[in-house]
Amino acid sequence: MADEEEDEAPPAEYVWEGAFERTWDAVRIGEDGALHGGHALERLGRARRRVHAGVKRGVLRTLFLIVDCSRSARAQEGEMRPSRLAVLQDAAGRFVSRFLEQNPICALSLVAMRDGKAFTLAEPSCNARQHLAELRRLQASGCSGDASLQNALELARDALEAIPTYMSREVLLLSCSLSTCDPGDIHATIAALAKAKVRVSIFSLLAEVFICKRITQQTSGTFGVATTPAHLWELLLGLVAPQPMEEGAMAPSRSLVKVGFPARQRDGAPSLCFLAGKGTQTALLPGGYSCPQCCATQEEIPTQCPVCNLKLVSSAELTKTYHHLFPVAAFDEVLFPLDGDARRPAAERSVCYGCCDALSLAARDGVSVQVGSRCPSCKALFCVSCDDLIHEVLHTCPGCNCPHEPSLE
Amino acid sequence: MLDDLPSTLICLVDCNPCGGWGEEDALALLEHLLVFFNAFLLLHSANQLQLLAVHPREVSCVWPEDGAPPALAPHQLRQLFLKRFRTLLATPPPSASAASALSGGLSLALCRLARQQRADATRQLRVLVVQATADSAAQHLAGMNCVFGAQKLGVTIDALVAARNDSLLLQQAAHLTDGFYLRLGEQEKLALSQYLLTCCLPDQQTRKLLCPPAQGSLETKALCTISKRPVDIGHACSVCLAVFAEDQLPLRECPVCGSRFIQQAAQAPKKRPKKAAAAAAPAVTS
Repeated sequence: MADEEEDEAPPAEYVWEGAFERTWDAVRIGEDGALHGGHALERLGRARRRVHAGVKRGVLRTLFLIVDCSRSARAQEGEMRPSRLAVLQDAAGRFVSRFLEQNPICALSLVAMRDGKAFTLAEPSCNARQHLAELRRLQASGCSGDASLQNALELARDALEAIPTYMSREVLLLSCSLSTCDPGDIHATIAALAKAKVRVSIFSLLAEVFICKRITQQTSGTFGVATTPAHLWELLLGLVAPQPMEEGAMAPSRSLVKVGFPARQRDGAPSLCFLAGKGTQTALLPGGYSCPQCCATQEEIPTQCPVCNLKLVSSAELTKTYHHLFPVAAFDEVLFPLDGDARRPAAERSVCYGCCDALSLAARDGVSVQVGSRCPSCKALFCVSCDDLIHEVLHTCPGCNCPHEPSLE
Repeated sequence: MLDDLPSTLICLVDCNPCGGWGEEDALALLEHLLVFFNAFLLLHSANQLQLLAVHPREVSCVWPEDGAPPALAPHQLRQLFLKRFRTLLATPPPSASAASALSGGLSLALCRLARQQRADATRQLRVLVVQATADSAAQHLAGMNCVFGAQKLGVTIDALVAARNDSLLLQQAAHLTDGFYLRLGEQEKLALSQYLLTCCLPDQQTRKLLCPPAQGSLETKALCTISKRPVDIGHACSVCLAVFAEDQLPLRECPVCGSRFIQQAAQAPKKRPKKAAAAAAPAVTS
């Protein structure tokens, strides 16, 4: 294994490399006497970059999340406290909840690498509770031995090959070792992964490892080295939303998928239900959803019927993924300088349309400004918090949905 | 023992003149609502109430108004509410079939509740929707996005529907946010205060201990994009998730997003050479 030098390291990757920051200079006292930090502008910039309208995305996804539990995960390092495993666990937990929330019709599986082997922690399912419980248990089972990239990737490939081609096949590997202990030729595995259209993304907590980068290049995935826990989370966020479906060898095929919409059983007598994420295990439970094709009862939906293999979803779940396909357009940033009298907006203009709060203050080039965002289609003005809320939670613009009074136009 | 937490309630009242109620009917309903509002304000000294009026022409804030005193005596609230309601009922909609901007009102309410949550994370948030007209298909997607947003923010949505048919959107909203859904028949209209005080007044913690009246069965079926009929088993486009009924098949391409589908029969022989070519490339480089 050879480490490849990073060609263009961005300046100040680590806290101790950066210049001394005078964060208190950005703080301004507002008209109401409250203190406003200088973060409003930064947050706005980050939210804006993520909106891409009119892109076809592969919303049906299968993802294998592989967590490195080798002995180097136990180690404590400058930025990764209290241990690399704890950082991994925390980031993976947040990723799982965010992923299942944004991609309701998906299958997520958890794999751990330990002692040169790969273990399946959770079978593919969309049940966040089970995945989070398994992740919490990781700390107790401990970290030992070496990581084996080949074993883990082969395990994922075996399972992913059985998945229909209209679903995207993805692997996300969170690595924190510099070596891999493989039983065979890993290049053959990489070729097999590329052939099976599996997209492998690897994020390392330690350093850029040649073979990891090689895997991601050959399978058109992403590679990244996280320098801080916050940086790791930022890298992971890039994989939460479904990837755009480009025309190419890696794109999932387009076809019609047979789906069933099960009816909820009346809350009365308990019935024999297939448990969520437990394969063919059953239990007597009240309620449940019955498969419209074979009438088998399921504990939770969305799931795949274990009897007739029909994909069971609720119509609400389908609606939940539409915001990826029809996102709210990015808002234009508007700045109202407080000092320049000529351009100062009228008092009622500087109030957020959504929450009726005054716009937040920030410093830019030493001048206090009011920061707002304007919806390009309805021209309503929003504060930074409402902008975040609209793009990340609501996915619909209140201004565009409210009919305009003639006086406003 | 849990502390008694303050709540914020935003009530959306549909003031569409073409609604399922006449003026007399509407005024009687408002009296019931006023009883409920006053009871809500009495429950906790820090409870807050906001009233939004929804009309096909506008969504306007009835209470709190700019410059109005922060606290209002019950009779003042009634005067304010009735005055605005009468004005809106007299305003003709752009067309007889125009639906009220419910999704706009709902998203506006959530923006305001999110602000309250930023200021005080323990505050309990809820929305009461009083709908008089049928659902509008054009607003369904925006409305469902709001419902999922409410679910994420922890906002409970209660719904009263005075229209003749059940509202699919509000049924889903109440189901997903653990709220209460009621369609107002003749009997329910007479006993509305009773329903409001027993089902909508208790906060989220208390509701767990109560047994609400049976909620109607929830429609989980999807509508076929072409025939608009509900389907049990359908075929979804893997790109845009539009659902098609069995009898609309076979389709060459998706009518919604224009993706060309791979025909099931032609799929196997066409793809094999492609796969082999893709596999050969990395093998050479390694």
